[in-house]
Amino acid sequence: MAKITFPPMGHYSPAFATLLRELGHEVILPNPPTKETLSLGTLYGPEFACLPLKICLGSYVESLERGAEVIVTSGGVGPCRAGLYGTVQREILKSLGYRFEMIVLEPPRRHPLELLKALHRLDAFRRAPWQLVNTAFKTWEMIKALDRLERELHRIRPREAEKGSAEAVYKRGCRAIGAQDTVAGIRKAAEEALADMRRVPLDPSCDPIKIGIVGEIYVLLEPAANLKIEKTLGELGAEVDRSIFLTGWTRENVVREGDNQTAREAAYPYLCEMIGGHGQDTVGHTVMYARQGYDGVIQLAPFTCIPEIVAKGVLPSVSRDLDIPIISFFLDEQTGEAGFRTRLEAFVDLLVRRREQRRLAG
Amino acid sequence: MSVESAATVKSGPRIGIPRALWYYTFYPFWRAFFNGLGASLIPSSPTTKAILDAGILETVSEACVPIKVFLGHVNDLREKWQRGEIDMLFLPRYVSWQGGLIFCPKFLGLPDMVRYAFEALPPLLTVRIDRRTFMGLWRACDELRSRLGATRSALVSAYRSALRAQAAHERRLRENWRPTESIVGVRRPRRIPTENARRPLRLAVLGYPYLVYDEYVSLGVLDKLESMGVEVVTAETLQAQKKQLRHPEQKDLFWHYSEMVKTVGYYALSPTNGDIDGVIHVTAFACGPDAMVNKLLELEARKEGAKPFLSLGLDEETGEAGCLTRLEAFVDMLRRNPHRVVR
Ligand code: SF4
Ligand code: SF4
Repeated sequence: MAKITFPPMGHYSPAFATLLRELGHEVILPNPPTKETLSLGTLYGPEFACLPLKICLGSYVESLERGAEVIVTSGGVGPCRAGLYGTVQREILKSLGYRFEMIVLEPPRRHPLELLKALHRLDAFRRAPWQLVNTAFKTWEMIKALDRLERELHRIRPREAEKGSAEAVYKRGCRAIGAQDTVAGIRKAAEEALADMRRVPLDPSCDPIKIGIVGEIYVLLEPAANLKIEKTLGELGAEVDRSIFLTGWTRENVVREGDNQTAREAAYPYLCEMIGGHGQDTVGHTVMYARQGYDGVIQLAPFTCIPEIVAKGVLPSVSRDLDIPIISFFLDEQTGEAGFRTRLEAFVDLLVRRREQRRLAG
Repeated sequence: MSVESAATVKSGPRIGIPRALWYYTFYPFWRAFFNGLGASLIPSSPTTKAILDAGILETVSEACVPIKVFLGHVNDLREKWQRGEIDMLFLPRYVSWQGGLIFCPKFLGLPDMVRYAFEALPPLLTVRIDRRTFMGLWRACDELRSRLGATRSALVSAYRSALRAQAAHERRLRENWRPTESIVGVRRPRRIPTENARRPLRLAVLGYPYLVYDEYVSLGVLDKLESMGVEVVTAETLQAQKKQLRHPEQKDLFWHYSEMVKTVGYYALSPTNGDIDGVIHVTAFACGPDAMVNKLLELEARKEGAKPFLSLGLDEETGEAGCLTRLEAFVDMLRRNPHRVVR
């Protein structure tokens, strides 16, 4: 039984911890990334690596210092860099003198053997098949529950009468869900948390604008990477819809790799090639938000993120053709919270004024 | 240049091709192919400040220099078209040329970026090139043929001569010709002075062809080294050592050019190869893949006995003087003490 850790992944960490614990490992839960985490990653990582690589690298260093011996992470086959994080991070950490094992879970379609070997290393096959199925099912249920609760949070937050009340309910809910170890328990905890959330007192006069958030998956999912953009926007009175949730993404990319018909189809006239990462989804979701009458779209991406740069290249045309304001943020370790907030405020103001003008006009 | 235009056919459509990115690797293929179909292929002018500036203006600011250069060349061809010098613009979508390897995602999205960056563009001749699919290249060529309205029978011979031209090009690159020389078919004589009867310093200069061989963007790094009396070998040449190139424990990079640079880099750095004295990695600032490649090489260079290593980052603001100083320092250091890493 080894002490195991994994990359920090927003609020999903408890779900992954449960999974590994059920396989009989001792889990070193990654700390929520902080400024120091990112500094470590920036110090040791390649200068122009994308933000996710740096955050994860920093987090591994912290977890290794806390006694982790094994790192589990996901692989990939490109076209983007995420598939190489494992290789590069392993080499860097080795050169820093850490002794550990890195287990990379490759997607089943391309490297079935590698995946089986990795699962074997994780002792997965010492358990009865039905136990495995049960564990997988439970993890999935937990992720689904966390996603439902977060969606509800995004809806309620801009409307809450007292600032911060929805967030408090959400945090409590996450803890309750993470503490469950049966499927029934998870479902019950989720229902209760959702009910609590609906009881949060609302401000009836509130009429939030609607903003869609598109971009690269990691910066969308990890609040440490996106400087808690959803919270900031919620406080500024905007209802946020994030285009990527793990439940949606896993369904599309792991089970039926890359077969996300709708977003791809929507992207088609603008970006006709699967360019890796979430470049095509970024464009596709932007088109979809525009058609659904959203007030604006925000693109979030790590600095030097390849697919998102391509996407940014075509977004101005989407904005013009479908008449929807779009703003792009390329985030790196130098992005400051205050400056970011100011730019978000300006964008929200612009959207509010634009909506007013349109209402007046007709 | 003169040889190029002499080789082109006078009648038939005139097709513009940007002198950037895949140009250095694949131009001979497309020249032979289009000539075989009765069309002529006209490259944009060599990179200049004006071309780069135009590219910077038209590209998302976060993009890497090579992409900005590419858009600058597209702009150059656009102007040629407005002056009536070309009829259309060749803009293939390079997805994969060799099984298992794909091009950088920016290559994949390039035609889309170009289409949305410019208001008025010449008619585009685009095609998706993916050799992972069955007869991918042949089918791409067939599509181009039908777009040009040429006959099927012309296709067979055009395709064959294109493959032959490409093979010859690659052979010449392995023999240490520069792509620019191979394209015109004339090799410039190299006179490397021998130092007191010892063999000259031999450096591997590794990087993507569109950086290393673009004299403007690379600040003429190859010529500068040669004028210092250094013998230069590039990644394409070292690839001839294919058998010795594999690194046992590494997962392959999956990008076409990056994989080449990485494997060749490991080979060039390894203590066991006897004839390379040092390695220079030419890399573009803000290049996604290079962030990985450069780190891997740098870590390799720190290992016991590895060859001295210099990483030379280029962007639109890199000054020629600073670059020259770094090269000179590296070469001097090697001449004095051949066992140290410079970063
Ligand atoms: S999609 Fe962007 S963030 Fe993800 S690996 Fe690629 S470059 Fe990095
Ligand atoms: S490999 Fe690097 S330099 Fe080349 S296009 Fe991609 S990001 Fe730009």
